Amino acid sequence: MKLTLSWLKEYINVPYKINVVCDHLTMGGVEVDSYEKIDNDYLIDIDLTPNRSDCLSVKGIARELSCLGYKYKLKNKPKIKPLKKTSLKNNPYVKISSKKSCPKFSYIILNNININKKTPKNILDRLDAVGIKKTNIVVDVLNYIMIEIGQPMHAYDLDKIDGKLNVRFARSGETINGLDGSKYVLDKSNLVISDNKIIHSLAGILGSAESSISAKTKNILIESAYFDNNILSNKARDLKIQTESSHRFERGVDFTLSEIAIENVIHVLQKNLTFDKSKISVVADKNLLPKSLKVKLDLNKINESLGTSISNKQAQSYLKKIGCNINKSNVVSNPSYRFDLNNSADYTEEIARIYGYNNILESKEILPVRIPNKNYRYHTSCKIKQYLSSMGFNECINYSFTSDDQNENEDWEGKKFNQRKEISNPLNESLAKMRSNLLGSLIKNIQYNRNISANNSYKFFEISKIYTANEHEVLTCVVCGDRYDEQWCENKSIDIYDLLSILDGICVILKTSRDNLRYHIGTKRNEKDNFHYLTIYLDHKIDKNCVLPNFKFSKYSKYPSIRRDISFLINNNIKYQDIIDSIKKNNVQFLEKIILFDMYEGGNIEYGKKSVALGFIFQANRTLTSKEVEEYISEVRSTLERNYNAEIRE
Amino acid sequence: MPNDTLTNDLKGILEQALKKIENVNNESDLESCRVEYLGKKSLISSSMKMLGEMDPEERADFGAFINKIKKEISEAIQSKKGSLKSKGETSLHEDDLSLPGRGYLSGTLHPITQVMHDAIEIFDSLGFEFVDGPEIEDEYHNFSALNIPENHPAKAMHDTFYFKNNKLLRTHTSSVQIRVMDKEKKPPIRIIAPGKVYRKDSDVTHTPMFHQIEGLYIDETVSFANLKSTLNIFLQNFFQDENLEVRFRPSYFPFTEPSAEVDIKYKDRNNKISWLEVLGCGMVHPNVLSMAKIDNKKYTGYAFGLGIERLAMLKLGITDIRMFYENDLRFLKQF
Repeated sequence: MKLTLSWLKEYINVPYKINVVCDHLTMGGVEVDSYEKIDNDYLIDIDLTPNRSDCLSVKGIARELSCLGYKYKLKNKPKIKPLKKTSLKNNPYVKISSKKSCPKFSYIILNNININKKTPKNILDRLDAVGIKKTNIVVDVLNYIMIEIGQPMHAYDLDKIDGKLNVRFARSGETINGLDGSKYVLDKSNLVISDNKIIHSLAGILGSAESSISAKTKNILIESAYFDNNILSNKARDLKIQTESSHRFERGVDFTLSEIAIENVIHVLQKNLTFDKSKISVVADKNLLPKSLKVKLDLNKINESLGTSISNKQAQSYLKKIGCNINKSNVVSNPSYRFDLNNSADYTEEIARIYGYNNILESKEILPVRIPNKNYRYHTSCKIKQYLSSMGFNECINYSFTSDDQNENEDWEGKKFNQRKEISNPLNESLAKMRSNLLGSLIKNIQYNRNISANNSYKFFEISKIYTANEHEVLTCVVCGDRYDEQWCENKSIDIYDLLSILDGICVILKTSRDNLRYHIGTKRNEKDNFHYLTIYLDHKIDKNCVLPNFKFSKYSKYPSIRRDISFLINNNIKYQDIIDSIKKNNVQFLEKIILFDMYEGGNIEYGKKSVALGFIFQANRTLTSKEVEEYISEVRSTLERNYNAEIRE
Repeated sequence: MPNDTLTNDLKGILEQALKKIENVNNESDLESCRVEYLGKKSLISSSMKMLGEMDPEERADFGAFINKIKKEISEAIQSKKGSLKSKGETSLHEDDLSLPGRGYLSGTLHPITQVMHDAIEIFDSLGFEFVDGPEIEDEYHNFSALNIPENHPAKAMHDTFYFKNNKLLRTHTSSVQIRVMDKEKKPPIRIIAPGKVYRKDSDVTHTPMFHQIEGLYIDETVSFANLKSTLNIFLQNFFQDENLEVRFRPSYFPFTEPSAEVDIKYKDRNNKISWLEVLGCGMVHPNVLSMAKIDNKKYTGYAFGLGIERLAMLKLGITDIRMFYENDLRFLKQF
């Protein structure tokens, strides 16, 4: 909502500088977005919350300033002459089929009007300042009065109307040729005003091209109606239209304005034009018009919820200022323009607002002491993030929706996934489907960085939700290139074994083992790069096991351990874990730990074999003798020979 | 062994070689060792040539013996090579402490993670419990239970992303309020709900996904004055400025009444001072309490919602919100 300071000053005394006025409005709840100097005036742009449609006019803003202590101009604008009104039972021009949506419809008919007369400059200047294009004198004046008092109106070329104007809902598929040049296809939820043949306006939103005022127009019907805001809300938006009129009607217009607005229009037009005019016709159903609501206020409760001690007298004066009626026993009723006031909480806000939010003192006692429960899910993530960043990984955060490419259409374990959740109204096609893995985004992050700066090593991770059957948090690490950023020591290509050590590191941090984690390790290849990745499914099981310490300290022996190494040749298709498992299955006495310290294939190793070197640590609650240890190690040796036909190397 | 003298000589050579290799401290010396012990003119090479003259049985034994020695020496050279390398590409006569370090350099956490963590810690110390909620929500939790009816213009402000099954991406973390109240019928409730939220918007100050922290406190006699003190404490801590100027001004959210927006007095890079909005808050609307079946005569509460990107931008001096989601290393490595 835009208005000029000079316009406002026609209503109210403004004894302050522009920035102070704007500050008052903002602090009163009518937020001034900006103000700018134009010629000898200021243009004020107000960003209104949807509940305050009463401020969508110059008069409304003036009223708001008066609540904040500004004084109305005593020498008000010239008195508007009331016009004669009539409410015919069987109205010759207008029929309301949907009374609930349009409880009141006022109009006036102007005959023999000279539409080609120029609009007065002061009106055009103001319209221009607030961003409304000029059209013709009648429409310009309608717009002018709308900005001034807040009632949107519409003018029809009466000679283009065939029969009565009928306020009704559209039939599905009906169309209107809007005066903006577009054609709109309507459905049953659109309230329209039609004659016997065509639709002449989308009620409260937009007129039609057919009956809009043209240079040839001689006779005019001016509509000033009250439409129910619930019927109109979101309708303009659905059709991708936004007009000054729809903006007001969908937030709600004061129903008492409809005749007053016509009187204002006639007052201005008569100064500039000659025409014959009818009485103002009002078609209304009083039972359907909004009623003033009575609410009983409990000031103690209000003070308690605000933390204030506002006196009854003060509270009453605040509410009177905003136009409410309030009796001795604090029963308050709202003015017609404040239909947003319905219950005690609404009045609490009004009282707080006029009292001034910043006059409410902070309480000395902030909060009673309470130790909150820990969120283990969050704590686990924090630990993992800390660990990964200290291992040289950079954390990324990506959008939860991505494109439809191949890497994206997989689940977290790298299996094809075709049931990604699809957004019906995405921002664009590349942000249309919910992620089923984090890998796709992270690969794009690496490629993006590679295109703008040449690094030799990329180590990225993200912890975010994926959205498959349910939404679920996972961790994905992706590495590409060298192990380290370029530096002066040996730098190898990073690979899945580096990720395995990350996995083991996470196990250490979470006090768990690989067996207790759901994880997936793999490699994506393209022509240029290998992207190795590790994904861990983060569930509450981990959080409970790892962070909630079920964990207790275990005692260790004070005696020295003894180490013996064995190296052996074994078929290279035998998995390391199988070797370890079979040794452990044998329950060799005092075997504490096994260390893999060498493993290689090729060179002088027989084809199909690999050389494995293991260190065995023996530990007991006493000093072990080498003789004993020799016995144990020979058990290991024979296990390897028996189970895997291993060839022990001396 | 037939040729005991040679065998003993070779054993001696092995011992000597291993000792020499051990003491070498640069690569060129190591190379001369290799030439000396394994080169064409070495005893090992000449002994190998003798193999042809031996009878088959002797040849096998002696061959194995020579090979073993050869292997031990070459392994020793290899491992020395490795250890020389790991000390540095070049062998340095003296330690040079002005060199850059080696190995893993620490990575970085995303600024959103860090700023969010700061905020969560402050609320944790104020006794707010961290709770989660789903991002894919329904109309009830995101709108109607928050006193936002079907045709409400406030709904249009939100620009919601929808799915075909009438589900939607939550437009605010306020939806978690409802889930918590549904679960815990009995106040006191004191929670924060941090997380991702979504609105159909994209420009310098909007991304279609962003982060919020919702706060909710319900108890007997919770007042607007309490709300002001909690948020003041939070903002002063967050910006590490106990003289931070904070102002509350009337606003509108369907789920709070009175509602307020909170501004801080902020000095930008060019020392320009202005009031900047940092969060929205208010007293929980009695309708919201009653819909959650909490006795709104007995209990009152406040709620607030912080935009993390907004706070991060102010704290870190970032002017384009979209940078958070480009994941450009030149950006990420700064934090």
